[in-house]
Amino acid sequence: MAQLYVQTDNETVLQKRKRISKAAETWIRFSKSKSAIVGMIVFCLLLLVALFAGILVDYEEDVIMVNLPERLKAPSAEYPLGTDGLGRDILARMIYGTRISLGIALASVVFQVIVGTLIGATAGFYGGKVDNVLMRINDVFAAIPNLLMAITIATALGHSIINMIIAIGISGTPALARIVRATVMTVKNQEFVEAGRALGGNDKQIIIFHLIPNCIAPIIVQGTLRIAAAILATSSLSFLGIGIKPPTPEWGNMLSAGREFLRNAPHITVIPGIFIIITILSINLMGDGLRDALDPKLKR
Amino acid sequence: MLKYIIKRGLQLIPVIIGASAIIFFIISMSDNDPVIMLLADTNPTPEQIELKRQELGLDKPLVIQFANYMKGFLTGDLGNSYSTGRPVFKEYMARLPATIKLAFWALIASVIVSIPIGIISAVKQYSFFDNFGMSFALLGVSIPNFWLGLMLILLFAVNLGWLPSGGSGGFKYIILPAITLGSGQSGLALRMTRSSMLEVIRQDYIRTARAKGLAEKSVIIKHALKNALIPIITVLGSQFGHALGGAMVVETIFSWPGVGRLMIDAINKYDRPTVIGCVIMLCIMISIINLFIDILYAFIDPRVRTEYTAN
Amino acid sequence: MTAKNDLVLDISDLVVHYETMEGTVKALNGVNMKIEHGRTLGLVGETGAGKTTTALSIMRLIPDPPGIIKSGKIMFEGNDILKLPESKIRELRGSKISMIFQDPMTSLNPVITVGEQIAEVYRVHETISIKQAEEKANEMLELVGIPSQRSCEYPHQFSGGMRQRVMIAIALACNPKLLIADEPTTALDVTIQSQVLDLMKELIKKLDMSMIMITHDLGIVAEVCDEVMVMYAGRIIEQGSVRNVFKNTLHPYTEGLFNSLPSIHNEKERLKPIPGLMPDPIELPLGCAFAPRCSYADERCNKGIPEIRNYDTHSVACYAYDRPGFKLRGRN
Repeated sequence: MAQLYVQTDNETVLQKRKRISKAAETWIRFSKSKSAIVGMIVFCLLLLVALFAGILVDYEEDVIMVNLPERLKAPSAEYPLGTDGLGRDILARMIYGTRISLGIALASVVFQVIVGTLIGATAGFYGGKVDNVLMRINDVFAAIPNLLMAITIATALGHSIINMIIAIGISGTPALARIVRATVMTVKNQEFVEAGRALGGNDKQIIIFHLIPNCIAPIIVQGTLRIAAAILATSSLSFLGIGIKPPTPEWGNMLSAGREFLRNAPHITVIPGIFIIITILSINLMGDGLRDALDPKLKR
Repeated sequence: MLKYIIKRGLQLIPVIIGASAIIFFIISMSDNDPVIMLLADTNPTPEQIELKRQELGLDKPLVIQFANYMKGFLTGDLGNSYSTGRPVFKEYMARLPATIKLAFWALIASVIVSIPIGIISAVKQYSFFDNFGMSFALLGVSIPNFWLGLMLILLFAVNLGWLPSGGSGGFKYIILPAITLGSGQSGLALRMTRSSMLEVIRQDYIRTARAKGLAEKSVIIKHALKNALIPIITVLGSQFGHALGGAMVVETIFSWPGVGRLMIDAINKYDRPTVIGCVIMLCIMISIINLFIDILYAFIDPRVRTEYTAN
Repeated sequence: MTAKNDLVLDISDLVVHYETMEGTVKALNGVNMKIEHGRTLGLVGETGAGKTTTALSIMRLIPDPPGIIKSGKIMFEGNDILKLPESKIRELRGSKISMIFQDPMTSLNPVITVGEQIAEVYRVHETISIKQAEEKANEMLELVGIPSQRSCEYPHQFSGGMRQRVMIAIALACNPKLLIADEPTTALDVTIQSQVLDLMKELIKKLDMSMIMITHDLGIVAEVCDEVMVMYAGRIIEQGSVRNVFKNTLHPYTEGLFNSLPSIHNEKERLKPIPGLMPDPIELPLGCAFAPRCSYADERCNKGIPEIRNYDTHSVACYAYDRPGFKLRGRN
């Protein structure tokens, strides 16, 4: 909120610039970037596909059922994306795969955000011993590289969707906790001082109302970008045979299955890859747009 | 300075022990009973199973198992592979050079492209070149490396026949794997270079350099780049460390005989000691590389040098 | 050999704008400045008046984008600086015209030794070997009062005052004709300030240079400068010798500046700042820029922009002097 003081001899006239809510401001800035909007639209489309996958295709018939006479067909009118090694319609499998991949990615990021925020905010807010202990433990977890951690957990727990969510969730949490902690500490030092002076005391509620809105921005940006990382992790793990196993259609394992047909039926490998690229690209564009919109000072 | 190195080295130890513990316990939580897996072919009796269990030390409580494992760790004994019977440590060390070679060439491939483009993008901010550079970076992080690897194989090995699709041998075997691994890294490296250069160019001392009458090229390369390198090197170093651990996918696609492949095979064969050993060794390597980077700072940034030697 | 009264720098009608997202910032609106050989000119004004922009224009260091030099001439050694090709400007920078910046903490490159930062000025402008440049750099260090053994140290190993001395060494290395000092002591402790100022005065005299001292501190002007120009909203509104401007202040703004200084001699209860703020350079008023804050202003002041002209002992840009017998109330 900007104010202009114009002081004449006898009075002080206050002219306030019009105040728009922070959310509306952010949206306006966001929509200035064409690529960010495109990214958001594509991502929303994918979300819709994921949501309605069950209605769009029939799981038993289209996705799972083996149909050998139709195998390895190139894309055509009947099979817009062709068929795979077992004769299944790739388009149908990709549609269902959207639900699987996006579902796992979103769920694991929610996990990361909730757990990471709890840990980071607690450490950042209370500081001192609490901070020390929490961060030491966090560092130990962070010492294990993401993919390795996910692999370890996935190997131990098994190949189900829930386990994938846990694996990717846990592997990504330490880094997020760090970021939340840093943000909380920065904001705490700013707002505390201001609030303390202005209110003449410790009004915890006001601090929480000031603290949290300022911390949300980096969390949102990080969360969005991590969805992309999670999709990459899910597909990498499934590709390696450690994640989701066939016949469940996951983009990574579909790609992997296409390896043996690389020479004569490359579409089985190419198409899932393109989907992954488009998904990750749209998320990154959206995430970048959010970052620029939420903190224009950081504009690259 | 030496004191600093030693202090940092000692700080690593609890972290490594902690990480090892986490990995050990997670893998031990697995449903699969390794003993049954191992003896599956021989149709064992319950007594034989129990015997094998005792032989492998798996009958003791987990904490004791871990303590024994750590004891062995100190003497370089990471147990023996369930599938080959050979010492895990030896297997790991035998494969490590190949992975290091891959990580090294991937780093070169990434740097050759990303740093020059990053610098030019920063100097000519908002220009056509800058937009091209940023799009390139965006693609770099958005294309999964397993897909890229397969596409490269499709193009260069299958269709054009210029390069082999896998295995190791001469230099031509490393080209595609290095490019595949490197391209995934180049996106971030490019962005870091650009943003670091942008940050540095805004600094007052760059204005001072111009005010001295230096040519712009001198200003960028001598004055700006040196300062910009500092955060870039962090990123590159950590990427190198991760490449050591995360090259599994690339090694699998290109049948590259490295540590990553060793681990994937071990996972599929339920070879616990090898899995645990590989993961722990990788964590250690990454920690050491991070420490190395910290020390490297002292050589690049005189302010850091002062800080280290003062403490 | 330049005679004492030769003009070193002659700026006429300099207009500089910055194109920003919020609008066009009219930083300089017709600045005229003449500097004679061997004289020190003080350029005084509040933050945002346009002092640094003027300095950067002379060096042609205005960042473009967003800055644009719209019109004007800057004559130096018979050439218009604004029309010279980039390569010629680079020859001038650091060798004929040098600049010292405000913040010594950030103005030196942290990863290059101070000796090297001085030596490279020699290497760029003179054809000498690396060894010779090094030696000359050491001499410069001694000249500014820093032992030459420290030439292999880095900026962070020096205090603020010493870093500014290094900046001075860099600026004076090639014996420039004109030194532009942009608030060189603002970021320093008061005790160090006077040391650095003394050093500058000594060297200016020794090396027979002209200097533009940009400052908001009238005390520094009194100590160091021969002439002074007061700047407001991108224009020079009063100029003359230090003695005349200080003793016979003509412009209401300048009077306000003097009045706002706390004085040891008069015991007053309150400080008297000039009411209001400098106008937003994106939305400058139609008339005299100072009129909204001026206690002497009348109708005419809002209608046009007064030109600077001679009056009494020096020059001032104020319509009030068109009124017969107008005098400022004087300093209290």
